[in-house]
Amino acid sequence: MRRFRLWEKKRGHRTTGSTLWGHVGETLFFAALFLTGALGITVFVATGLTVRVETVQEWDWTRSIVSLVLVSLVVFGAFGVLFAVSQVGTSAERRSARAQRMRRLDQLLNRNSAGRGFPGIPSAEDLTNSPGVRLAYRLPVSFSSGWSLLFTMALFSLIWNGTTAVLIGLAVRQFRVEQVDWFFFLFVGAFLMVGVWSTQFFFQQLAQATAIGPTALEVSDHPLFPGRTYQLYLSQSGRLVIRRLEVSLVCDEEATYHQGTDIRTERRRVLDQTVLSVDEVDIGPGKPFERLDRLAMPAQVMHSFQAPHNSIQWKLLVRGEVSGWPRFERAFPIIVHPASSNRPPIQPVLPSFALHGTSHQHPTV
Amino acid sequence: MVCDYQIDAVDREQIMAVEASVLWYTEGKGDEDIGVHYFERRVATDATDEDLRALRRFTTILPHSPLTYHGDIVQVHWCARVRVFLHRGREVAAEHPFQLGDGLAMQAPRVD
Repeated sequence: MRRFRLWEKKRGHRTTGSTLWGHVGETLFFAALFLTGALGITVFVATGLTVRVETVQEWDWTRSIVSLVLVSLVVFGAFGVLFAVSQVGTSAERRSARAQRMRRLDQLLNRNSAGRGFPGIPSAEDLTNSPGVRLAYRLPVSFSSGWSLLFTMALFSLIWNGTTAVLIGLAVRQFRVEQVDWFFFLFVGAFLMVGVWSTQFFFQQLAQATAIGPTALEVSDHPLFPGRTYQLYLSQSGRLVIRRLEVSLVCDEEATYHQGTDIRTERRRVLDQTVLSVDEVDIGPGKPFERLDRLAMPAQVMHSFQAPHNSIQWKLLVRGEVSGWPRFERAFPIIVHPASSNRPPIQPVLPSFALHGTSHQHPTV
Repeated sequence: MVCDYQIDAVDREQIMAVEASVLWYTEGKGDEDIGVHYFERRVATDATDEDLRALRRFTTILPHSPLTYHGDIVQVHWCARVRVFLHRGREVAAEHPFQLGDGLAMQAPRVD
């Protein structure tokens, strides 16, 4: 006898019972939605359904909301029935082939060449539309965790301190009419402490973000190919002393799966290779740290891969350890193509320039 | 790539349609993704003597990507798949896996 687990959610797309009966049930469900909506509209229009309301304005709102709900049921029901019927007897391969034909047609109509020739590999167009100062391409920085934390704290501080201000106002009013509720005062005190902490944390994060300054990373060619060597240019601005500045080549596998009603994502780092490492970098205003170096792509590695639920992502990570501040990290996504695809390498031209910034340098990896 | 397939052990009248495809699919922690590179669907009227069981050959030029890959939580596999649709909604599928790429990049690189 099968035991049903009460506290776990089902993973994946396994189904019990007949797939055909599942489609039938799904079709009946959407058909019921459609009929309910259609019947409701018919009754609503034919009988002139009235609701007791206070004003004419409320009557218009009520009629609008009811109409919207009934029309939504009709639309969802109709599309659901059509979708469910189209799934019956259609294999996954046929559905996928149909979807790909539509994507190719869309690409042809929009003259969109992105992704052609390399299925499953994300387009490098967004990464190559910014020319570099020293090298061919300037890589865009992905939205780093530091910035997302900053925006989150800003929003949290605004909402929390706004609520705290209202509570303080109520507490002051109570105090004036001599109605002292100590539990409420303690509650407001706790709110105030959290508000002060969140504001302090936000300004600390803001100071760090502005003190460290922007990071620029440029490459001599893009997309990249396994087994080839490229030129890499790093520029770090700011007004600080960095104990250690490192650029690493990383490869992450990412998998997204459904677990019941939850969607979970798991990441696994499968490569973390140091490209360059510098100690004791003294950066002053108007004098960014600059370094030109080599990036040697490993020979036997997988290319970039992007699918709806699975991906292989390559990045260049710039990490820094700063005295008195938390460690910072900035990610620059890159695209790696298969080594087997034919593409003549572009010979980079090395400009000559002086090294800026004082540092103790490690040998290039 | 050249692929031959033949259907046995079933009466001609039982087969409603046959689909042949070359596709990649993912395996591992994440939900399955598939990408169909080649697809062909035939019904009885498309075949000689309306017999879909006869030996059938199709050819296709394989793409540069995605290569076959065996990672830690993501794997990419390629296969040729034949699906036979029978009466009363029954269907039978068979697939033959193959490797795309020279195999050098098949394994996930290790973290240093």
